[in-house]
Amino acid sequence: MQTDFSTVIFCEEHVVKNELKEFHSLQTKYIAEGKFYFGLCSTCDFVNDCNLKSQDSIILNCEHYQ
Amino acid sequence: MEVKAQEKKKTGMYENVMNQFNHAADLMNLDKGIRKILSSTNSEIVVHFPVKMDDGSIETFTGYRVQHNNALGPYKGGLRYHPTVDIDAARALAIWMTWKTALAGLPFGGAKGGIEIDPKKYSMNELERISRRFTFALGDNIGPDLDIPAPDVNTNAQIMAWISDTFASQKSPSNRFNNLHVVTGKPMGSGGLEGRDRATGFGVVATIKSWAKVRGVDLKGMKYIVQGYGNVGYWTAHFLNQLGAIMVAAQDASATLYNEKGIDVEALYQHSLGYKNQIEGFDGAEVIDSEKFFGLDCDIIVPAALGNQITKDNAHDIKAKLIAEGANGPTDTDAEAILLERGVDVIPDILCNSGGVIGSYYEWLQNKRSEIWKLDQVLDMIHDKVSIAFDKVVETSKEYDTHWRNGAYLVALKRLEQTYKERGVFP
Repeated sequence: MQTDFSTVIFCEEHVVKNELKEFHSLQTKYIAEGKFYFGLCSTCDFVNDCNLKSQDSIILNCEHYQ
Repeated sequence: MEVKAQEKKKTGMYENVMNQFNHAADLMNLDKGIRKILSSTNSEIVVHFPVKMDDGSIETFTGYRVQHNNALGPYKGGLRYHPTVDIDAARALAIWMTWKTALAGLPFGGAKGGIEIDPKKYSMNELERISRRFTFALGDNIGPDLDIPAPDVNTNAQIMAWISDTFASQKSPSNRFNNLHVVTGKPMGSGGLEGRDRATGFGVVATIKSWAKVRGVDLKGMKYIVQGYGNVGYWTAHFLNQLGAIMVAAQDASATLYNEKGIDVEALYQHSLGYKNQIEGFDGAEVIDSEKFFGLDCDIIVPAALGNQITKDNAHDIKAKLIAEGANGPTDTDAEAILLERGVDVIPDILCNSGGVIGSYYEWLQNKRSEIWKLDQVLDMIHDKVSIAFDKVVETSKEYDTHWRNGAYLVALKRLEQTYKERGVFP
């Protein structure tokens, strides 16, 4: 049913899956070659020499964020 | 391409929150309809608003408020000012608040929000105008009996005072004082609660006391270590010290300190206040390798800094009998399985650090009743609420033959399920 020539803005068959998804849209900041930080770490003053940061998780809460 | 590869392996709070919810919902065979309701948010408000800068130019900002669920009472949750604030982060944190308030037995639901902004780039006057205009943009989507924001990352008591003043100023003169408690975490002169600063740390210690009672052990002389020496970490150490426990190590973003004879809790805090809130440079302990921290010889570990700190890589090294999660999500799923297998107790974050939101509840209640409570009264009330929640979690965990984290989610979900079953779904 899809048309190649126009943007479809009305569709009776349109379905949105009824569940929330986490999109990893949290902004990143380039710190050093090959290293990207997400969430609070991306703007934290301690990011370059933090004892605690985790490369494998998006930090949304941190008592030491500054 | 490299960024995409990194994104794939990252785990976020939302994923953890929903996994834990689904697991507990399966365990208790949660009603399908209620499960659907709790799997989505009630309202998601996005506002774009203009603010005049100090140089006369105009900037527009984007603010969010996600209201997950209000079956138990008005929405409750923080407002953060940070460039990473977006609808996804706000959703995850809002859902988390629903479970937390339900578990604590509070008449609140869950919400979260904030402004996508780097506050470092703005003057104090600009931040005041931004906060006031954001409040105006949210309009009657917040309110003392509808949705009650609180401080979070980069927001503080001053910002709460501006929000409260702006919200109340839009009401008729006779209604202004009925609306000042639209936020909690206010300064003392604007209806703030005595002891709100120490509420989370005090609550952590209340759960540790309940644990000691359940396990039949004496906290006096027990050795503990604290990760994170901010507000939660320091006050936890302060109250544990009063019980005769000994802090042998502390770790923060700047250093890892160890002294087997004990570290002076108050001296370390005073040092950190004069050193950009960092423990580095304190001379009452030796600096050790940060990797050794969780494997130190101690009875209690209090991770009170950030998430994903205890993982399968260090869980086997842990010698402590108890992990008291002062931070949100410090123990990952793999690590928890290892710890439980080894007989280490874990007081889950949703219970362990609930003293903060319980403190907020009492601030709201104090304002609602036009009263001013003393510190001792406040701490007694927080102690009671936390202890009752702890006992309920232990009892429910026994009933379902599961661990305390599942037990905590079960208590929260059962409260919500009961409410929906009693009231039904309109119409």
